[in-house]
Parts: sequence; C-alpha cells; structure tokens
Amino acid sequence: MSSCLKIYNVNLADQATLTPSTENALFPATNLQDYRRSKVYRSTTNSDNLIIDFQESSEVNAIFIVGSKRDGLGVSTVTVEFNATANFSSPAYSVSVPMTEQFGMGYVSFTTVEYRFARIVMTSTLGYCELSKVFMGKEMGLTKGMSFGWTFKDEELSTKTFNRYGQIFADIISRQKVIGLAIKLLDKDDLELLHVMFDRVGEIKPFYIVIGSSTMAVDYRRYSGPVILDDVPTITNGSFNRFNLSMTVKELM
Amino acid sequence: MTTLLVDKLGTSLEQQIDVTITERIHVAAFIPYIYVYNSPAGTFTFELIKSSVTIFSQSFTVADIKTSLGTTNNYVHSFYPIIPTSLVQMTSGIYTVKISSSGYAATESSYLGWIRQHENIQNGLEYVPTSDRQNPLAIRIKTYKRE
Repeated sequence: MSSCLKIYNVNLADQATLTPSTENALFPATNLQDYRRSKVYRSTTNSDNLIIDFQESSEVNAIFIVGSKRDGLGVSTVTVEFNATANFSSPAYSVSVPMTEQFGMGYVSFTTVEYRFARIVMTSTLGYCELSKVFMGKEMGLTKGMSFGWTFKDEELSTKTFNRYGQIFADIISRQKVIGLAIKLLDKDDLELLHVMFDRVGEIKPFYIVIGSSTMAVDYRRYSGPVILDDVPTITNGSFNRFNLSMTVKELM
Repeated sequence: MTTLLVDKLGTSLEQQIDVTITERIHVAAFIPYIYVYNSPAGTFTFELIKSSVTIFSQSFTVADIKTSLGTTNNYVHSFYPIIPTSLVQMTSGIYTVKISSSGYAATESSYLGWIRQHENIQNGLEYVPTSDRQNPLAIRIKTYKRE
C-alpha cells in the first residue's frame, strides 16, 4: 500500500495572485482562496481562463479542480498551462485535467515542473465557467503508505425524522466522505513531514489526498479530493525511530 | 396497434425546450426517439443550442443506432442514447435541441425521422396541443447522480 496514499498539503494557489479573463462580480476569483466549497469563482462566458501568479518559480506535480458540493462541476474541460512569464501564447508545459461529474472533481499528476505562472483554460456549456477550489502543488512524498484496514464512510448529513408508521421525513442535503486510515512504521523524516503538515492545516484548513489506484478501485477519485482533519492525530512511538499514527479525515464541504 | 407520428428529417429538425430546474444538471445522455426507415446513409448531428450558440454537438449514423440496439434490422424505432464524450452541463433556460444531416437525402424508401410523443410522462408541455402534429418531438435527458 506504499503507493496508495498521496498527500498534497501546500496549495500554491492559496497565496497566488489570480487574474481572470472575465469575472462575475458576485463570484470573484478570490473565492478560490476561501476554504468553503460554496464559495466559487464564476466567469461570464463559455470559454475563459485564469492566470495564477505564484510570485516565484514553484514546483508543481499535481492539480485538483473541485466543483461546489451543491451544484458540482461548472466546467466541461480544463487544461492547465505553465510558463515562466505571463505571456501564454506559447506555454512551456500544458496538461489536460480529466474531470468526473460523478465525484465533482478533476485530478491529474505529472512529472514535476517548475514555473512561476499557470493558466487555467476552461470551457463550459453553462454560459459561464465555474470553479470552486483549485489545488496546484507538490506531493508530500512520504516513503510509507497507509496500512490495510482503512475505512470509508459516506456520511449522510440530512436530518431524518420518522413518524410512528416508520415513514421518513428528511431535508435532503448531501453526504460527506469520512475516511479513517493509519500509517505505520514511519521514520523520523516522514514523521517530520507530517508534523509540518499538521502544524499548517490543524483541524481547520484543507489538504488534498488521493487513495488508491486504478487497479484497486473502479474510480479511485471516489476516495480523493480536498479533506480536513477530524482530529490532529496522536502519534505512537512503536520502537526506535518508528512511529505509528491513525487519522480520520472528512471531505471538505 | 401503435401508430407513430414521425417528422421526416430533411435538412434538420429542431425544437425548443424550457429547462426549469433550480440546480445545475450534469448530462449523462440525450435520448431522442428516433425512427429509422430502411437504414439511410449519411451522418446525423445532434446539437444543443442556447442563445443561438451551439454548446454541444455530437454526430451519429444509423449504423451507430443499430449497434446500440444490437440489431441488423433496417427498420427501427427506439430511444437512442447520445452519450456525450465531453462533459455537458445545463441550467435553467430555453434550449433548442436539433438534429441535422450531412451526406443524407430523405426519400420515400429510406429516411430518418424524429417521433412526436403523444403522452409524455417525463416532460410537461407549456401549451395544449390542438392536433397530434403539435405534440413534441420526443426526447429524454438523463443526468448524472453526484456522489
């Protein structure tokens, strides 16, 4: 299972300068830097782009595109281009992000590139393009993966009441993925990476995970996307220079 | 006996639909009710148009329809699912659904048609048809259920 957990916690887009080609004033591009998925950026046409200035040359090897939880994706296709300058007439690197309607997100990973600027090129059929959250950054690079025995639950958030006849009355909202996992026999270097992440995100800020591969799930994106820690994990020192921890993460809503 | 009321496709057939949803929908398939009479040649294009702009189009042939049904029969009436190869989303508003042709000529002995539906239990009409000819061209739109 060593390759079956990827963690991405430093989102370069969070601190970047965002320059959209068009922008609906009610849904500004800065909403992408808000942690709530209900806050979205919305353009005004079916074909738009958004330039992201990381302020300095930065390494990226993965991209997540996330739709709002209520309405899902607001784009049909997304291509991300990278360049050393903000002139994208001939970008240095370009990658298409495969999207899934079912899980309301897109994810792609690739060999690390290092550029200062990125441009998200979007198309849609809605009369506008809409993004809720965007991640661009680099995988954490743990040498240990998670252990077998991880758990997944799609938690129902609707409030349900029953009458005496057993009929159900519910306010239909949505569900939230809850994943429990453990990582065992971490060495001090891996542990330090996780400490830095826990210091950064706490139980409030999102990070991104990918669990599994195409050989262990029909669509492993079911177990992937933005999450928050339910509780900062307790770390157990199992033996000399070997540490164990388990954590529960919840889908970002 | 069932009687089918068919509009024969010449150059194109189209119809407006008023989508009244409140949330965005993610289209899994557009499913027009198609009539194939003696397997006409040519390529047919389904289009979704909003505000005079084609926001989705995908082509098919009669061979595609027959393959989807697993039949070699040259005479078919069926709801034919056009499954978008790129993501298509819709919101509320007036859309036009259109089928056009290329490399095709309708004759009395071979043509493609779009069937008008007398009792449409899925989609409500905004008008009262005063003749069968005013029944709508039948189409279903299937959407993805998000997890």
